[in-house]
Amino acid sequence: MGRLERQKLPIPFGEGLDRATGVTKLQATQFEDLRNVLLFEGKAEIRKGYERRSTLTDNVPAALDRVLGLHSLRSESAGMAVGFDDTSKEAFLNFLSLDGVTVTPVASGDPNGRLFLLDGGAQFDPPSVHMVDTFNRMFIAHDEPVLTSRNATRVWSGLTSPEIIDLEADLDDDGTEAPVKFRGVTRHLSYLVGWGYGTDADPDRPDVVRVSLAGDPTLFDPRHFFHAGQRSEPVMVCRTAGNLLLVFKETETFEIFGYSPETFGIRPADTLFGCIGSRLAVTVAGAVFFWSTQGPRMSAGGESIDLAIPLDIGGPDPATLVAESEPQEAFAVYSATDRVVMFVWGRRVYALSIRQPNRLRWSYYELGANAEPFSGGSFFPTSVTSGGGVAPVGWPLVGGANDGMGGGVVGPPPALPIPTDTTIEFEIFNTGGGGLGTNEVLEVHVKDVDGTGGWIKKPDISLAPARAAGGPNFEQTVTVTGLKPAQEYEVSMRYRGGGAFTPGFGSGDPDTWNDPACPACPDNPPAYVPGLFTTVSAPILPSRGGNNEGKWERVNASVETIRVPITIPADHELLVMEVEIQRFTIGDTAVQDIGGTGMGPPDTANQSQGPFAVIEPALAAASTSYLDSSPVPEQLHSYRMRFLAPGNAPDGPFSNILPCHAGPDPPTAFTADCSGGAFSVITSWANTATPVASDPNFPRVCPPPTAAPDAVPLGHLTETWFANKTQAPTTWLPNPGDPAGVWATGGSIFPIGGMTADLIRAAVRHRVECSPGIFDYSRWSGHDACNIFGP
Amino acid sequence: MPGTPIPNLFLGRKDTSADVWIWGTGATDGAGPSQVPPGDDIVQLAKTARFFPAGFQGEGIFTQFWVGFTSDMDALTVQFTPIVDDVVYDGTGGNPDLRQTVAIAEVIGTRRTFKFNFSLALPFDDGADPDALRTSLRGSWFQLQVDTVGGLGVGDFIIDAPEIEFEIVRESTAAE
Repeated sequence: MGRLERQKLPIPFGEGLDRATGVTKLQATQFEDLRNVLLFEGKAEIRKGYERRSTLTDNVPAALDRVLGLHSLRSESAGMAVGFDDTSKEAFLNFLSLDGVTVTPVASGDPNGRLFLLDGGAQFDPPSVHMVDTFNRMFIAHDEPVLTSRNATRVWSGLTSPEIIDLEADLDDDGTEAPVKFRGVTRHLSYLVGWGYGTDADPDRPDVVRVSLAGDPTLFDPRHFFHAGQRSEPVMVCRTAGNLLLVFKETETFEIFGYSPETFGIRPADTLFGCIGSRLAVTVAGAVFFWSTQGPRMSAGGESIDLAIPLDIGGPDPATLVAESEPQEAFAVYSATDRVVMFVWGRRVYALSIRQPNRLRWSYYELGANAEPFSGGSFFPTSVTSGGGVAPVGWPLVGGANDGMGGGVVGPPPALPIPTDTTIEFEIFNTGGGGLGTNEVLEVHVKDVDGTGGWIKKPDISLAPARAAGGPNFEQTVTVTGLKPAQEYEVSMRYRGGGAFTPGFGSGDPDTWNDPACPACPDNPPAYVPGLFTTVSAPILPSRGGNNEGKWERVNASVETIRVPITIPADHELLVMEVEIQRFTIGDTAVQDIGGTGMGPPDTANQSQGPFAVIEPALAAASTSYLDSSPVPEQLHSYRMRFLAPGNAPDGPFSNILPCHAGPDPPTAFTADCSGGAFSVITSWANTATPVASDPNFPRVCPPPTAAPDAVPLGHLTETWFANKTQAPTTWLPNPGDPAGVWATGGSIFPIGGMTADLIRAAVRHRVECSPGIFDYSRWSGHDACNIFGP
Repeated sequence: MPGTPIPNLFLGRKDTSADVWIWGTGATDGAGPSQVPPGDDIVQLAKTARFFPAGFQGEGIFTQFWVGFTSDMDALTVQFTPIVDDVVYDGTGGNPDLRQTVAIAEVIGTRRTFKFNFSLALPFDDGADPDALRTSLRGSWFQLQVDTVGGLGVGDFIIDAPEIEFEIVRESTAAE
């Protein structure tokens, strides 16, 4: 055969992997191995890397060890993430800016500020979470197979109510709401969907899929649920595909159709293939891409489509290709910029280019040896923040913030900011003329100076009609909500018209907003206000009623204590600041003659006048009580306290004053009786024969820790004293007729002999013996008097 | 289009530190801000399908290949390794080294397209003048492997379609 012509063959670099076709059948444009490239038409580009934008923290804030989940918060054009401490097993929720740079731990109802604490019996350690945002809320489900170790589904209710609470519902329809423990959550149509939980009475239902009420993801009708196949086979994950909800089990798939409780139904979709990992499914363009027992597949409802053939799953891996992780740690995400569905198995990524929907192409990514991911998610900018709109004119200025920004303000004198515990109200003034642009709103960003220091965008504020009319005299009162008490805030503002900003204000970082016409102006960045403080409420010292409201305790023969209960106001539970406690002591031992009218307790009307002295300068704010370990015995002590604000914020006001006698409780009412020409004291309280703690008239006898709450004291008696008021000076004497050790019960009569015609007064107190030979006295009761008339 | 709202993909770190990474930025994996600490290098690798110019039992001569790429990257080294009938011409195992390297070590600024031509000829060593005679690679099939060497620079690097030049010296033998 003769020599042939020289020929050329192009090898286009836009095609993907094909490891399944035989070598002689394989098209020359396919690739045996392809790593770290993005596939285009006829070309391939080396993929870009990934860079650290921030590190999640707990509420101290201290850096955490692992990112369990990332999810967009579309209503705020931001994101949220769950971080985990591998040592303490605590998970925390963080709020992230759209660019991921600013990270702020979110307060929760938990005393430690955590999202949840992983139980020691959990099967998945590190834990797995499902997150979904819907109706301006973020729902976080703990994907834990062991029900007893699964934490309740948690709800973060937006910037205006930033605390995290348990999702609760009355799924037993018995009138009682209980925490719901879904294994996963997602959103479908206008519903929240949760799976893997039955009811409070029958919780372990891995086959159940529940649907919330339309438009309110926190409300559930107990009748609105589906059984997906057999009970013993758990639902792994649910994902929306168009108007269907695909319910993936490990080896089969169901689909929920319909749009309302009346039209909803469930049917088998694929009886052979499901999803082997709860995070290995992602919805893109109306289809769900998921990983089955035979590798990746795609479904838009009905039987799924095999995508795995070119990868030759089950065949030998390409030489030197990095190893993949376990399915539990694998996840699926979509890169919109690359148009690539990524199945991330540790450092190995199976990357599916969907640039051409009818020609899907595979490649591998090998991720950095020191940069293995555990979770992923996209943050979505809203169209109003990035697209369209008319660029506004000028920027808002705040009046009266002592920031030197008042110059140039045209309009009425500015009003001072008015703070409350969690809001700040102030007036803004416009620097520029021009009317309201398309969809123009006020964006407010705040930074907690004493906190993590990052900027947080607050909900948009509509502008008043005066702004629409144009002109620099525009003014409007603005209230920024959802702040932390006793904090110093910086505020930056800008106008946004659709997706356009005032020139110089387009950056995502408020620190860079500038008036480009005058970059050297002293007020650049404008629309920036430092030093706005929120206030702090006073703690509350709850009262038991009466004059002995703290809790006296005899510890041993030589030590007595008083425990002062503390109630922290709402929104103040997690404040990182201290409580100062003060005490004022007044005499309480002597029988006192009050204004010549009788005998009774000391004058407590002046107890608030002090002088109070600081006895505890820095108690942790989260404390629920304070133990005074050095009260003077048988004295009346008055307590008050206040929050000490961190940084430059002003300290809080004082609480109410709580008095507490260092001794047992006093007797209640009694009567002085002079009938029949003799004087006696008749007790009218209803003490039991043996004093016990549960007796409402004498509730605390020998309190713990000396004895159990209901312990009987070693000794106890009721003392009666008397005084002849016609004698001067009045002299109080113990009743010589007091029988030793008598404990007054209801109607006890204590005769006082030797009285003659006169005005006789009486007083009563308790004496208990909690430690051998140590007597503790109550305060004196009120006094009473009667006349003995002579013959 | 500038201003088009494209979602940002973020990845969360597995251990050591709860870092949040933004995907599609920078020349390494896991770098900190301003490359402190530096991240891990991204190693691109592509191995084409096996090209049989004359069928499974045929034979061809592979004479040269062209590679085009478009780039504005300021630092990059790319290596092209020919493989014929499973013989990797990388200088190991006694095989000749026919690897070709393209290195960029300057700031290009804007995207430019480059085209390189690489010979697949080997010196024919007859004991006399080794350059007196050269011969091209010969075999049933040809494969090209493309690797990056070391770290990438800042910018884009796009590989356009390579081309392989060949002659068929023997067609596949038909079955008898």
